[in-house]
Amino acid sequence: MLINLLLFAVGLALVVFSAHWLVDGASSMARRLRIPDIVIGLTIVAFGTSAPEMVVSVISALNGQSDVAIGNVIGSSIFNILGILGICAIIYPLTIQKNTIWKEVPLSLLAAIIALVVAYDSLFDGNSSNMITRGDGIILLSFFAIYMYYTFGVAKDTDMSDVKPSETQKTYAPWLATIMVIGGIAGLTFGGKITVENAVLMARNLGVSDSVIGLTLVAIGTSLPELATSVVATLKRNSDIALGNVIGSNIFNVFFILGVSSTISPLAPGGITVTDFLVCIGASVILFVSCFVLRPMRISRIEGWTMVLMYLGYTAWLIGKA
Amino acid sequence: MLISLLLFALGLVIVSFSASKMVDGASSLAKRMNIPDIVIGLTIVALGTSAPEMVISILSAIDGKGDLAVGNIVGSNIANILVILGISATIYPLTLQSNTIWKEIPLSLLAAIMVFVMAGDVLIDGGTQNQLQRSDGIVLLGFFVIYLFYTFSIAKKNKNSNEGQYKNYPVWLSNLMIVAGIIGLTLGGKIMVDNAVAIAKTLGISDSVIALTLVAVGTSIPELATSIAAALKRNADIAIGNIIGSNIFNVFLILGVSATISPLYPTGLTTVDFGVCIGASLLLFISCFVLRPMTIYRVEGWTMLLLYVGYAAWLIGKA
Repeated sequence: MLINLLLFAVGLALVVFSAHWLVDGASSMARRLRIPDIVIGLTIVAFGTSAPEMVVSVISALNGQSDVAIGNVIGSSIFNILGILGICAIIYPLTIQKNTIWKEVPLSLLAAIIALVVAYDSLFDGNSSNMITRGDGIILLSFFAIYMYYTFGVAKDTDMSDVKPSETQKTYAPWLATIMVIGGIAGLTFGGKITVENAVLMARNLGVSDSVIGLTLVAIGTSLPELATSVVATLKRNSDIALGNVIGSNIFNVFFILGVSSTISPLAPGGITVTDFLVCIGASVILFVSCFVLRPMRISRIEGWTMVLMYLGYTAWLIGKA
Repeated sequence: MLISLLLFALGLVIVSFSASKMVDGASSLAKRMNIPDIVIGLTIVALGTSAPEMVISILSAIDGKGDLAVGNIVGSNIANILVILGISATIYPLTLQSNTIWKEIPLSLLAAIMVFVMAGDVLIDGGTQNQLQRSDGIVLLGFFVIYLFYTFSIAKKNKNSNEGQYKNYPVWLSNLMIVAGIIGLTLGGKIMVDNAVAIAKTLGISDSVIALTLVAVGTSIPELATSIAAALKRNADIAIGNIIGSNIFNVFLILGVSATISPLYPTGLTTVDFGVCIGASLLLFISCFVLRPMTIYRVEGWTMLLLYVGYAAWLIGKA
């Protein structure tokens, strides 16, 4: 059991570092090919940040562990809002921009709703079986295409002068960049495999279902990079990054990661119940509502505490049920 | 046969007339509630233009005629591009705006692909039957919400509100117009559906062929009139915007609503039909770049028309 937890952590660490190498190597290559920084930021870097969730969900989908694949996505989205944003708001109240309230937050809510609709066909169609089919996966990826289009449009409109070069802007020698990309992909795959296998073993040892492990341990584990980014941003009083990171991740989770996973291999949401999906929808609604109540355009400390308490309650319910 | 065709045409006239009355009544009522013109234009008026497709697809969905409901949408989208834009381009070369090429046309292409992905269960998921489920309908409506957000933000940026373009009627008259409009729409729609099916029976062809040809072209006549009038006035924006908007509406809203009301089984539609719909959207996108950039040229218009004739001939020959 303890060794599994350790291996799970090692696998996760390997995934996170490999993602970094992959992003750095690929960005360096892209710059040599004279691809604009903004395109690199919106594609390579954005995909790299989601790589941990991605490998875990894709590998579990390939292994036929649908509960881990879906649980990871839904659990991450819940944790992103109730856990990460809750903690950030407790540290310092978050100020939200208009575009975020009226476009990105609604889109993340739509993503949560669409996830339920594609997964639980029987709720709407009676006789059909519950399955995120390959067709559903392609549909999710189409939503993702629209989202990418939107982010490119926003990025083009934004004044480029205040985009400061980040630490990922290094340029490596071509051979080194190639090794970083190949090594990164290998590390991601290997680390992802270790993470998933040990998560499933832990579930067996604890006598809980794959779905509970997927919704809690795996989801939180893969969201640790987002937690770090958002907390650091909040400490620097940079609400935009703290929020953008989390909401972007939720949209990515459903439209891209769930989309890719189910396109590769159809997923049956056996252990992930309608309640779990509803909690995910509810968390998005709470985020939207908290932009208006107490203080408009702001998520206050009290709202942060409420979110964190709700997350604890949900987790307790999950574990108690197991 | 001839009487059915006449009744079908009569139904279309009733539907179009009722739609315009309902739009007038609803717009006047909305104006009284101080709803901004732009919102009225993007919702009530846009909906009114799509009314013929809407009633036909919803009524046939309720009747369990999946071929008619889906065929009408797929066929309308094909006819919208190949016939209406084709004719408009032969009248006068159409110049497109960058937003149309890079946002609206790709979205209409995505819409065409979505129909195929959702309805093509046999090909994509190895299912036993092609169907558009209620959950597919809700997902389509999800896309529609995104589209509405987009059009609102565009419209807000433009801010060229034509104040007072909507007539004001007394409240009782507005209400009467809405109620009568809805009754007329339903009645006219029912006449159209029944007679389309009767024509198909008499000719010994399938529901899907009638839906893809006669019904689709019939319900697109209002768009045809608008686009040709716009092309004659050299107003390419309206000629194209009308068509692309209609294609997006058809799939995301009308098919979305129809499938949400009642799951559809378009068993008579083939991969070729969905493929032609995707191909027509793709062709439109490509024709924005070849020959003359940003322009749909006369030659391209003729090509579109010929392609439609070929497709229609193939459909009829197959039947």
